[in-house]
Amino acid sequence: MTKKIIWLVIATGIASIATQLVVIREFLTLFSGNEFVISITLFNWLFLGGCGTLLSKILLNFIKPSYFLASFLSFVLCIIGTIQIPVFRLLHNTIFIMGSSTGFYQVFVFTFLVSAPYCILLGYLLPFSLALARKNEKQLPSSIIYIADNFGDALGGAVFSFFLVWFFSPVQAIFLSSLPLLFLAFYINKEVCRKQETRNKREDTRTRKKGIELVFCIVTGIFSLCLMTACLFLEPHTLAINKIKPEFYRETPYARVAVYKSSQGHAFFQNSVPLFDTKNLIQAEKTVHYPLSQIENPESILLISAVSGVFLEIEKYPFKRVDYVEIDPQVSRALFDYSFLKPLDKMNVIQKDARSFLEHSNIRYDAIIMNLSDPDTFQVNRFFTREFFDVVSQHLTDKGVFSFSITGFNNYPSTFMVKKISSLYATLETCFENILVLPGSEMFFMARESSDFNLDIPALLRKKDVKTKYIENYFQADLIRERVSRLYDFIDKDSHQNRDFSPVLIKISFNEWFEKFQTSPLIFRIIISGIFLIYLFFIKGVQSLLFFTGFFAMAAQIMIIFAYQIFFGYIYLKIGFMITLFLAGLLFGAYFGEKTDKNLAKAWMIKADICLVFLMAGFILLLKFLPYVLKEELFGLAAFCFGFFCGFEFPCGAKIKQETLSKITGLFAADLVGASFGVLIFSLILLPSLGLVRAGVVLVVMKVLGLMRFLIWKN
Amino acid sequence: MEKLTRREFIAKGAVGLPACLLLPHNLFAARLNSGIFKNDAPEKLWKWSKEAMFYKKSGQNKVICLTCPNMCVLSPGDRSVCRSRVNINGTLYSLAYGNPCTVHIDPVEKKPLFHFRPGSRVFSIAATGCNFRCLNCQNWEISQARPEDVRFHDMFPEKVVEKTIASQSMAIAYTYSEAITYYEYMVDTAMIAKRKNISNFLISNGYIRQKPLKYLCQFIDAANINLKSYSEKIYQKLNRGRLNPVLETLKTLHHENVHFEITTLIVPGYNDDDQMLKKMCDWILNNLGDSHPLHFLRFFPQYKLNRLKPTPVAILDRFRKTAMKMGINYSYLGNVPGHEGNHTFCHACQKLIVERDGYKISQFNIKNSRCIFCKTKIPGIWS
Repeated sequence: MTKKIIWLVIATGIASIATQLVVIREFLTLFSGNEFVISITLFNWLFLGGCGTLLSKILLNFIKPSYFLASFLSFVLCIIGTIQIPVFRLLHNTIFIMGSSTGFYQVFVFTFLVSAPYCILLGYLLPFSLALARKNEKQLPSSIIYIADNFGDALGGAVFSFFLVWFFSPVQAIFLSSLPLLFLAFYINKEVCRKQETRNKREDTRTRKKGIELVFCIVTGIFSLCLMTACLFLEPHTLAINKIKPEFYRETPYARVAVYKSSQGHAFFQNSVPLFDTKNLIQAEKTVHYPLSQIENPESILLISAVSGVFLEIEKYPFKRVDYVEIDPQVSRALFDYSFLKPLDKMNVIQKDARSFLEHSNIRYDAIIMNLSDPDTFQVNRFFTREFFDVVSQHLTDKGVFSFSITGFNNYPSTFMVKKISSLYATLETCFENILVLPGSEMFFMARESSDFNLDIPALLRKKDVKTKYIENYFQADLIRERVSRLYDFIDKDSHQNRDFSPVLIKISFNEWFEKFQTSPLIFRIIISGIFLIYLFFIKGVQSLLFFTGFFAMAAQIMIIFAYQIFFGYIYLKIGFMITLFLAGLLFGAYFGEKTDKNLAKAWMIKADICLVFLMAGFILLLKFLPYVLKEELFGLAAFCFGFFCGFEFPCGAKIKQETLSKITGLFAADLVGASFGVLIFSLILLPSLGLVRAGVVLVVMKVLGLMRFLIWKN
Repeated sequence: MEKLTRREFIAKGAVGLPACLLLPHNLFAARLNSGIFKNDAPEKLWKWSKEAMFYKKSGQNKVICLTCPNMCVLSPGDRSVCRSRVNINGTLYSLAYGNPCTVHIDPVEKKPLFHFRPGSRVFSIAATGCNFRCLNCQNWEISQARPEDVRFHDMFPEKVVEKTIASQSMAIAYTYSEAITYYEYMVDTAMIAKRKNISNFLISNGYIRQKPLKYLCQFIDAANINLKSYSEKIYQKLNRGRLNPVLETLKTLHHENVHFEITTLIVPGYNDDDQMLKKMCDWILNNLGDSHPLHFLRFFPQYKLNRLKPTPVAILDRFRKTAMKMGINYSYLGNVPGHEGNHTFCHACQKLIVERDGYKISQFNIKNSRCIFCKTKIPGIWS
């Protein structure tokens, strides 16, 4: 039966990791694509998993593990996994005010509570499975279960990243990934009952009991399957806004894209954020005419993403070439199919990441118009950094104009808004000679190398005989001039530049998020640091080393994800891939760790720890001094290596700890809780305050201190 | 007591549980922050603080602010809901006096006031503070801030009037944030402006008590009152305010013969309901008559209410037509450039009398406050 338990653990790993990845994406969408949500979700997952593991330390003394219970709990896990996506959506719509954004603490508490049932149960199942397996085979090493779990995780990650994400909706993906677990849960119980029946013909009572359990198991299994199937049908209904279902809905590898019908046309949503509707005249006019009015004869135009109606406005100029870069084919498809954009004759639609496109292109444009959302995520911030502005400046003609907009202010800029504008201004100033910032609820930045900007845009348009409805009648140059001059009084031109690895705008946005909800990140930081220190106080020796390894490994994983995001963009697509490689690393590490000699386990742990420190130091040095050598494969390799050394340490630790169930449970928990704090402290405290490279240095220091603590304990 | 629906019960339970876990931290700002700010007042009087005009003293040095229906009861050291009034040693002070944080010149159409000297310019000022907590506030940077937290101009009432004259503006608008929160500053400025023949505009949510309002009416020439919806529930949910006091304000302005226009922002999923609109129009017709212009504004995602799509223009168009069909003579659309709902049509002959291209007046067919085609009197101040 041990083998079957191992298969059950593998199936649990497959289902759980696919569920985790779907849940991350779901929360990213529900809370509008903020990457800090990834960190919060991972923290919840790991921390609650750790709590579930710790819980088993107590519960296993009272509830003896049995195959029946294993089956039952697996059914419950499948049900919760599948049902949770529709439940998240319904609860989100019920609890929060419709159409409103959510504050950090709201996100934290909501995700923590709704993730709890699944994560605690999952955390409980790992030591439970070990205890169950040891009923048959008392000497079974814990690392076998650990390896099986990692194998399942890696397999689940791969299946999700390379297959499920491309073809299935969130609930469908969870449903499919849960099927092996559902089958195994049923099969194990049936097998046990069959064997029990043949072995114990004389023991009627026990046989009857097993029979009842089998019937119960069949009923639960069928019920689970029915409930999960019902979720598949329920899923589309949970996407409705104001009871209106989307006409177009795609879970693309980049985001959730949806188009809703309204009484005058359609509205376009990305990750639950309404970007525009078909009547989008004001935004379209501003986007196109502010920059193009400044150019004598705009012939070649590059659009980085687009907003509804822009091509109609571009058509008013005698252009020769329009390149429209959009990474997500489903977005451009929706925009053209639902008449947000009218195709132009001389237009090229380029399905690529805009930064990568520009880096590999040698075309020069008269205007580069960027239509991206605000730079408050790493995904978007990489288009607002000095490094990107440098690339843009190399692709502009002599009098070419680069333009973009961010959410602005109506009458008075908040402190954070001033910081944002100042940082963007200072960053632009390093690459362009002339800069113009136009205030408004949407604030436009325009930059060019030569020639000043003319603020009388209506006059420029009249000269070109370009007719507009909004600019001609609402843009009053003299009043705007007064507002521009007031805005310039606020700008601090010596502000910090926004860089790829020192994302000032992310830090500002992070703090602004708290400010908007009249809360402060300080309380959160104090609470988290307090719990971190208290936990650290109570663990010693191997547990503490594994705690730091878990911490370090997950922080490193987050660092890789964010660095990857900066280099290549669109974490939504690659997060599954990166996590899969990390899990594969864990698996191989655990396999080799299991092979080590029991007497040399401590020494191997220390060596693995030193390797982790050097690995991180090397990664930081590459980021800082040789970023151009960091190809996509190297990020994958780094994820794998961090996972390898982390996975390697667990079996070594288990060998030192003599393999008693209680101690092993403590190690599982230390690893998980350490990992959860690694995610949270790195991404929500270190990264926003210090930037990527310096936060990495702090990680190295912390790991060295953890190792020293272990060595001191050892002596 | 109002009954809870099952949905509300789940929502409140689900919010209450985590809130209890993490209190006293301000987790659910929109729900819990509507209270006063304990011990948040500066220790000494700040800058140009001025004693409030409407308040009463209570025992233990407490004061009750009587400016708006929130009627904040403040112990010494406390700050009001609107953030601009504090109790210092048993006296209520306004901290917003003489320090506007926003000063701009705007076209009168931007307020919006369509029936008051079209095409003219208005000197617009605002100090920080608001007695509401609107999730879709356009000026949250100042309405949800304390006077001490922003960059401000030193501008006493006399100087405001001087600047208004220098900028060739015909009026002063108390606008952007909530004018009622800097009531004393507004009253003093309006008094001086009135003596110099400069008009005064109150641009407000209308959440004010009757006594201060009646006093203010002596100096105010026009007002635009934001009637956010015709539902107590929506007022509570989106604005943390109450509907009735706003309706009372409208009635008082009407009885005091102040020219005023009403603005309603149509938020999809909240007040885009035809039945609600009809009830609102009924109330207006029964209590205020048919002459007060009614503006329907298009909603765009703002502040915390940024996950809703903009209001479809078709709904606004339908609302405007319904309002006019029900008998409201002048109904307009805002934030919709190029729409006929920006123009004024004579309610008697239906001819175009004021054509607006954005903030520009391209046709003006009113003479001596009458339509030049049919000589019907058009409500408003036209010259």
